[in-house]
Amino acid sequence: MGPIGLVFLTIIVIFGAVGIVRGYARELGVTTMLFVALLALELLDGPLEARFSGFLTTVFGVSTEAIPRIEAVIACVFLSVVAFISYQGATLAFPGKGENWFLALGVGLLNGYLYAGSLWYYLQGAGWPLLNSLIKPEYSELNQAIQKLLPPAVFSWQILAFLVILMLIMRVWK
Amino acid sequence: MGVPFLILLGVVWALFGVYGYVRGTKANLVMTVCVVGALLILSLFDDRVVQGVEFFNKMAGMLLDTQEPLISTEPSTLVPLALIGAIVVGFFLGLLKVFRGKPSVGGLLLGLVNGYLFIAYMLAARMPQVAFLWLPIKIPGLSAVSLQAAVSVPAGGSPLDQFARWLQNLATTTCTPTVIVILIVLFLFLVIVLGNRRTRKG
Repeated sequence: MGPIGLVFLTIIVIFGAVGIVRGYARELGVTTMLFVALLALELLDGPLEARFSGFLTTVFGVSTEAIPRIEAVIACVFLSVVAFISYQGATLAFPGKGENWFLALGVGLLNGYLYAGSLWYYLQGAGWPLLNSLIKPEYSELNQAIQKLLPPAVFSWQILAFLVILMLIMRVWK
Repeated sequence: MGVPFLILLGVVWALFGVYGYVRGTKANLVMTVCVVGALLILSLFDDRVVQGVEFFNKMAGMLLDTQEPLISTEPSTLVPLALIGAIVVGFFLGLLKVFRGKPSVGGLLLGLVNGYLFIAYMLAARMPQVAFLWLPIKIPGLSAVSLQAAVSVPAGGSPLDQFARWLQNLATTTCTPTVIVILIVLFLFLVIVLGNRRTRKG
């Protein structure tokens, strides 16, 4: 695993630290929103992929070769916007004060895994758009192994739909 | 088998012991029952377990529209799954009021027993060439090697190389995504339930 893997792992650790500061109650709201964002992206990458590609080609004239890169950039921007609005301002918070630092760290690391792990997956899958002069596709076996454990590779859209529904039910259940 | 690997085993064993001490005797007795129960089921009813897993694979295949089995029926997959499942179930049962207790030496000892069983069977299932720990419950397809044989296995590079190889094995196991999802769901469930409980207490 090269420096780029270390960058993303560092981001995950930072999310863990942020989780401790914010508390697990508020972090669970971010988790829910990240599941929603990943569900939308998985739907666009799966059942709706043909329609979305057709939309990009027809409306914006994007060539077939450029579609994976465009989709990766859209995925990263969308995830970043969702993460930003989830952390900023009045957030979706779950019941509880969220003072247990261990649980808060766990949820923070989970959010980091969902966000940074997904960015890593999409960007590497598209060959690092805008960074391909810096990052060469000579990935180590460790890097390739980690790719199989990142959120878009692990969570199918069916599982994400289940998780979103579960989180919403748990949010309102007293 | 190198010294860093033995240190890692020691750390995992110690963590079980610390957890055992903190949670107390009753909670750890429950976990021991779960772990031993899971191993006994795999030992005595391995055929039925395999049939159950094949049925689950069939159902999951219909639901997810795939021919590939979700969970392998090899002991190298079933034993770790059973152990992790037993530990998770034991952990949650230990949270019940009736099993809560104060920190105790009895809990520490039971925690060490749980840790030994976990390490011994995980080694036998996933790294049989260095599985030198005695296996008290015989499971078809698993066996231990002598300490001499385990020590003679080359250390295989730096700890990072060994970790990379372990991670590669994990990533190529078909049931790993399923296990990750289950662990995440259980963790979120635990956090939300604890949060709701604290809110009700006020």
